[in-house]
Amino acid sequence: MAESMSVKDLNLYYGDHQALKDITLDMPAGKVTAFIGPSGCGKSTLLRCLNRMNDRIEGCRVEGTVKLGDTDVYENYDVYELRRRVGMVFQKPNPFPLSIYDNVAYGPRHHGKPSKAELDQIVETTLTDVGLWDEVKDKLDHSGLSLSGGQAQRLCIARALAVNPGVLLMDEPTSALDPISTGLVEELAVKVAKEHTVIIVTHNMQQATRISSKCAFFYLGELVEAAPTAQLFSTPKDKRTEDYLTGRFG
Amino acid sequence: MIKTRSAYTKQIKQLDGHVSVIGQAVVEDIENTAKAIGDGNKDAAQETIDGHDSFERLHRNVEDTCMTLMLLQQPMASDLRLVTASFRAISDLARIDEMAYETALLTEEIDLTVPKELADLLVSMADKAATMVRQAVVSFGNGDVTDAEKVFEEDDSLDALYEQVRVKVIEYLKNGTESATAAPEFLSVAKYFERMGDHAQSVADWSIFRATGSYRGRTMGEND
Repeated sequence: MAESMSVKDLNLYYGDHQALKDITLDMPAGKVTAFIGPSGCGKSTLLRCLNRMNDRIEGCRVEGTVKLGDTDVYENYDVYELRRRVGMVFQKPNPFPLSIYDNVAYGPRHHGKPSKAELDQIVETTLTDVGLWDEVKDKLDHSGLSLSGGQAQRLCIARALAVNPGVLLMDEPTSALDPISTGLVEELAVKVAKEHTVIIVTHNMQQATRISSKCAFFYLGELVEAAPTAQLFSTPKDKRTEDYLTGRFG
Repeated sequence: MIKTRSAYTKQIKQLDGHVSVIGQAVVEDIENTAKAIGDGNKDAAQETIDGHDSFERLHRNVEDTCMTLMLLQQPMASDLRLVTASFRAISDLARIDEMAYETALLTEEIDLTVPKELADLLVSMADKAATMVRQAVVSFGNGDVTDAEKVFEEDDSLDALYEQVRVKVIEYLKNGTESATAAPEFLSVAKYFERMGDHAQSVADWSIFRATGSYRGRTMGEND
């Protein structure tokens, strides 16, 4: 079931450098929320806070609260359970060097003890959900690395969805894909958001307008403005947003 | 064809200027019709007729610019509002100019010996329509919503003038005076001016949209 996420008064430091400044933002359940902004503005850093991917970075310190539903994910929360409930898809498709079947089955095997029949069902359902089943059903034992870029990215989305997360984080998931594959991933993001809240970082503003219902603009570690997408792209309130959207930045 | 972002920014600025130029041309054409009706100034009417083709070319060029910008640059935020509002506003302005042109033709083609009292009313209508268009175009350029709202306030008095012309024309028809022959044309001209006011209001609506993102009380994206 789709879950909401929210951050409140969030500050993040890499050593002495403050990368995120007093971020407060709600990301509604069952919707696509997009993060936009110039490179280095902190949008991917914030995304990684949402499932504590920054924990492994030396010198990284997080203050404030990050909530999944009503649960503070930085407060005595099992990080493995967090990453089951908040899945992630990266910029570059990164299938495991395993078979297509095992890529999808990887999460369910580690988060439970499904029977072979249950696992088969999960693999088929998930690959069907991402529109990959018909393309790979006869070669499930082939390596995930043998797939094209667009297929591999959809396999990665399937892998993330197989453990039924409440939230799916996507960090520029189509930047390495051709327009057709990009379109498929966008369709998929909108489709899965009903069951798995999608939070996406994108440099493609048309992509943000096409798929998100809420959009947040970041600049120099600050959340400048967040609003319903059509509103943000037609009548931004802050001049920095206006300048960024119209290409008159700097 | 525009390609780079700097060329795009230049084209956006030019578009803003073109709407203003079109607006000024429309105001002048309406004023010419007032001169033709009030002073019998045939040269003024001829000026509007002669300028019609080049006005149409300018209108089409600006329309093409808007479509090209939307196709190639996908403008956003204030640029999106400018391009969208310009595309619609110039359509209204073109309709107004078409009516000014038709009025000029009427004054050329038929002997509009307008009785003084009726001529005064029609000239008042032309002046009022020209004022409304001028205000709407100015507000489009300066983003002043208050200026745009004045256009709506003016429309009632234009409608009242039209009603006076209508009553007067009916009077001529009933009395069978010499002026009755051209009564339908008088009424057509009055109707053109009255409709110019409606289109001026539409331009004012687009001015408000350009400034605020809200069109007739509805804001983009509010129902999403």
